[in-house]
Amino acid sequence: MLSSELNKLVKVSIIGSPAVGKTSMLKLLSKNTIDRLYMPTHGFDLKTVKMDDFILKVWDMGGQNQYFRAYSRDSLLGTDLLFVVTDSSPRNVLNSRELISFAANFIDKECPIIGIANKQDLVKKDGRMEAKRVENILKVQTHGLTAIDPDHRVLLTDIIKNELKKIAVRRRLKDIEL
Amino acid sequence: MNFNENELFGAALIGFDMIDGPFLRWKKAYKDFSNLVNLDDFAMNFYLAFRGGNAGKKPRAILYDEFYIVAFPKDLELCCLFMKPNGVDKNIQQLNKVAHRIMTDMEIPDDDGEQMEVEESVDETVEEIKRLIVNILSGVEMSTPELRRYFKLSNSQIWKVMSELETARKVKRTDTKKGRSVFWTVQ
Repeated sequence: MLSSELNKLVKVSIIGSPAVGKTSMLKLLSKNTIDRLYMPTHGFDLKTVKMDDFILKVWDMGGQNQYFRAYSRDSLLGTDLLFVVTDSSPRNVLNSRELISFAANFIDKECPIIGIANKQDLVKKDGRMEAKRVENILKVQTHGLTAIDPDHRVLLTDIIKNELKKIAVRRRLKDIEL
Repeated sequence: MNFNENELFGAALIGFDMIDGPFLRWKKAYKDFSNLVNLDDFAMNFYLAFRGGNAGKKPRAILYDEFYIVAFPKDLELCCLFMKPNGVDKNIQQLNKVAHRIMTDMEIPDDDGEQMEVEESVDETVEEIKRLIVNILSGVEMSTPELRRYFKLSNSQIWKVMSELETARKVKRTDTKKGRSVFWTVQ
């Protein structure tokens, strides 16, 4: 593969506890129909999404402990952009904070970690937290999302496009250094 | 059909726990096959091999050096039949019936709570189960037996969890009826 092609490849990893909406987020991104019936992801699912000049390889990792323990090390390797998804419930947000510390061991220091406070449609209904509160706990940049709402696709792509610009700059700087 | 059920030397049911992932629910040896494969270690690999990812083609049988496995999913569970290679390709449908019969047979003692020892859940796990159930039931209706299959829980344990969620007004019963099963959704 040519280096110009390699520069267009971006590995995006999505992690989080079970049933927080990682796969819904992937479906939202890849314009697939979102089914409300929950089916857990076994191992991981991999999809390719084109965005501007970039080709995103999006890794949706199964949230079950066994999968994460067995595969996180290998599957997070080389991640350019890491999403940590929570369902915005207090308990899950606290767990996600631990997940971030754990995942940080396997990614580059310069890899951005973005928190997703998902299920924002339920915030007023059952005590889930708003994105700002989740961000204060996770201590990483966090965005609110309702992954089952197709209208939120623009929000998600904007977040990614913003990070892609930074990734492109970092890669150019690295090329110059070399 | 040249299938002979006697070629079967073992069967196993790999269950799926929403918190821990795949686990060996039970195994049944018709002949000793412990030297061929350690099921406790390989349960997750088999589960992933047959059910990995969310979409795309999934294998129905995998041939190994000394044996092959034909697997049949049922909801989140996977029934694996271990056999010696001998013209299996035409026998898939027949094996499917066998797998479902075995699963049905093995389900009966489970209803009496005798088949599987369920560990007493620590509070933390119960709270995680409750969080997951609320997420799973968001916008959908599911019966108690369907929900039970997502976790390593006995009938009494899932009922205890659902009752507590109901008392906390997180879930409610719906009007849907299917046999004696109660259906649930979020409040």
